[in-house]
Amino acid sequence: MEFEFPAEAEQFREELRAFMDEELPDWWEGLFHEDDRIYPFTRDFCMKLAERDWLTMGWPTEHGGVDADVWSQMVVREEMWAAGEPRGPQYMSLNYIGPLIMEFGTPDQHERFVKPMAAGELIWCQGFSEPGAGSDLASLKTKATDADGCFLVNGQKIWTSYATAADWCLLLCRTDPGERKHHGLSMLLVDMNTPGITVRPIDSMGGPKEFNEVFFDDVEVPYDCLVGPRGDGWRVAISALAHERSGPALHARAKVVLDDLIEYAKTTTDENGQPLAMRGSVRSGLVRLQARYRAARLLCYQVASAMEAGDVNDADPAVNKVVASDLNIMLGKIGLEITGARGQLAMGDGAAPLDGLMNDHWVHSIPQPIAMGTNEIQRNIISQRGLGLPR
Amino acid sequence: MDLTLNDTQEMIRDGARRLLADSLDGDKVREAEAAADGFSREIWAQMAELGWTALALPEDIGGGGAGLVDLCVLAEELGSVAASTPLVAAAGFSATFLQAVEPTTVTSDMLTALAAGEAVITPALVDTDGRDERSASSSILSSADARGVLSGAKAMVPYASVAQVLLVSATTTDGEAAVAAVDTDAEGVSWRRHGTLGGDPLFHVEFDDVAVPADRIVASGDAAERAIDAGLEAATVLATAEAVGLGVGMVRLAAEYASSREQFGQVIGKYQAVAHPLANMRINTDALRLLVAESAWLLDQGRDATLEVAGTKVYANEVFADMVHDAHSVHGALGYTTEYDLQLYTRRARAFCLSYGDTHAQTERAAVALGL
Repeated sequence: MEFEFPAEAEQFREELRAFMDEELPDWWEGLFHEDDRIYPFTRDFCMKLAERDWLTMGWPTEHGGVDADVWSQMVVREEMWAAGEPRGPQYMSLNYIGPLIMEFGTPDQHERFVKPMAAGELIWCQGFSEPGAGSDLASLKTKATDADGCFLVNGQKIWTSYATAADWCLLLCRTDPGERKHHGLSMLLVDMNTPGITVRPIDSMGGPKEFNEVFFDDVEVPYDCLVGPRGDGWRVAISALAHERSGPALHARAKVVLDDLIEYAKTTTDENGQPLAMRGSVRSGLVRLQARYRAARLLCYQVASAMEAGDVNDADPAVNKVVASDLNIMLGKIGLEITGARGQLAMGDGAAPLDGLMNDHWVHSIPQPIAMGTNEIQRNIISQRGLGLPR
Repeated sequence: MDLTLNDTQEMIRDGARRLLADSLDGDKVREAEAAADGFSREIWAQMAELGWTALALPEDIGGGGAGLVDLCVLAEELGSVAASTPLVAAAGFSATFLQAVEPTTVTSDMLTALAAGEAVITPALVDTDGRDERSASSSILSSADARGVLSGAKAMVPYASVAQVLLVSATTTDGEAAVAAVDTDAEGVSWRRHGTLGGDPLFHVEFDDVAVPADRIVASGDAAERAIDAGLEAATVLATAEAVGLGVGMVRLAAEYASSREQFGQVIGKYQAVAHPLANMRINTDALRLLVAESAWLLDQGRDATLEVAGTKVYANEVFADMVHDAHSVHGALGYTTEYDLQLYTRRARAFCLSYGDTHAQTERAAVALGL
């Protein structure tokens, strides 16, 4: 066991930080905010990363990567998430849609999709969840039927992030109805400019840009946009979800918020002129958060270590996801209390402590136990595959 | 960065599993707990024979040359079968303490004895009216005619009845901290065993004008406090590693039970109300194992790890205080009976939360280290 990043990875972290200091504009607050400049900026930012070989550094050389080790990749995951993910929607697709097409796609699909992704030119959205298929994803109903030399897609997807900006959609749909629910699914790559696709934004607690509904009405999808074997889409999706869960380094953003909160507690005095940090309850809350931050970080590294050793089990990414999302929930809970009554004031209001940081963090912590496989699903995975309990 | 076990650590783990599977079960643990010394000499001798008790001592004095991080692997395996041994006291506290003080013939002899395997040298730090190991001592070390005299009493001295030497914290008549190495067979030393929550052997020890030759005062002043602190850091980490093992044991028992016990026509492990608390037990055990290993690794590197050691202990105290109840809930009334093994783990895990730094003490230490 060793608990230190390789020196090269630490040096790379310095370079990356310097680059980001240079590139991130003053108005940048993070991906999950409301600002029309966000998507165009993230596309430019990704192309600049690509020029430096930093965008898809973990990919194999033949697909436009540099075969970087997991710790350099971890540096990218941490620094990007800590800075509010300036890669924008691409953080997700680079993490699993690219590798998915590499694994299951044809040479023609590699040429068509993987190459431009490595150059930072393509934005994707993920068409998995449906109104009637959330945790029980395999019960989805969107169908692709055979028409004149192509698939004809009809149905509805929901909670689709980035659909308004996306060039392509990774669509899981049913090609062969009537069989058992995990069978007869297929994975399609759908051009979002195809006639018959309607995107409707869903206003949410996180703002009007976070989620969308996507409607498919007789959408024609060429047969050469099927990725992986027809009817075997579930296997393709499972592989994608495994990559997705080892995606954002959730602990890295928590660290930024926690450090700000600690500084706030040290520099803010109460009505008796004492720093908040002298109160027992504040000290206890911050110490407990700090330990949980370390736990989430190390569990993330454990998954990366196992990937490096080629020995990942199913339970470890699930454990990591639960602890990291719970950390963010706890941070919102304790942090809002520390900021006191004015903690409820919004970002941009001059009177909000930490400029509304804890308010903002709390709102965006809500989806964390739900997104990327709910924590209840993760606990099913842990109890069944980690502890061997019966299904 | 590599959070997988290396070859040495895998060897320690596999070796420990083999030995403990052959030589220890719930009945043996009960037997040791009920014995006057609360000690299984057989297990300790086997551990010494295999070099485990001296694993983290330097090779030049006959130790294994490994680190605290490696010793933690062993401690977890001991915990996972609820074994109670002097490992935390002797290899954790005393070995670290004795390497942290100014070396003398006396301290080298004690280290050599520890390296040889079976010796038990144990800390006597908690006053009978003291809050914990770090509270100032009311035992008095006075000197007359160039020899010291120790008087006072200590509570919660681990394995006192089988130890050869006690490392006793005291205050000199000048008001300075000091640590005396007192032989348990010295005149004026007497003890009785406490009744305890965890069932592990802790003793009340009286020192009735015990003669302490000058060379047996192994540390004094700030140096004594620093060495005690170093010993306690190592002991805290090792005790937490053992508690992680207790967690592994609780998860194992609860998963076995939930997979076989049937109610309403199916095994109860199929109910998420049972399965999810079990998943939480696993989650917390996994998290703590890494927190412990990181703390141990930092100490092995000679770095300050107050924040990590204390923060981990705070987290562990919170986790185990709850986990024991989750484990009991899964087992229903059966887990409350003494003939079933679960209580061996839950009593010990709850006692752990109060040992080597309770939540209040460790929170304060971590808070200071965090700059609060």
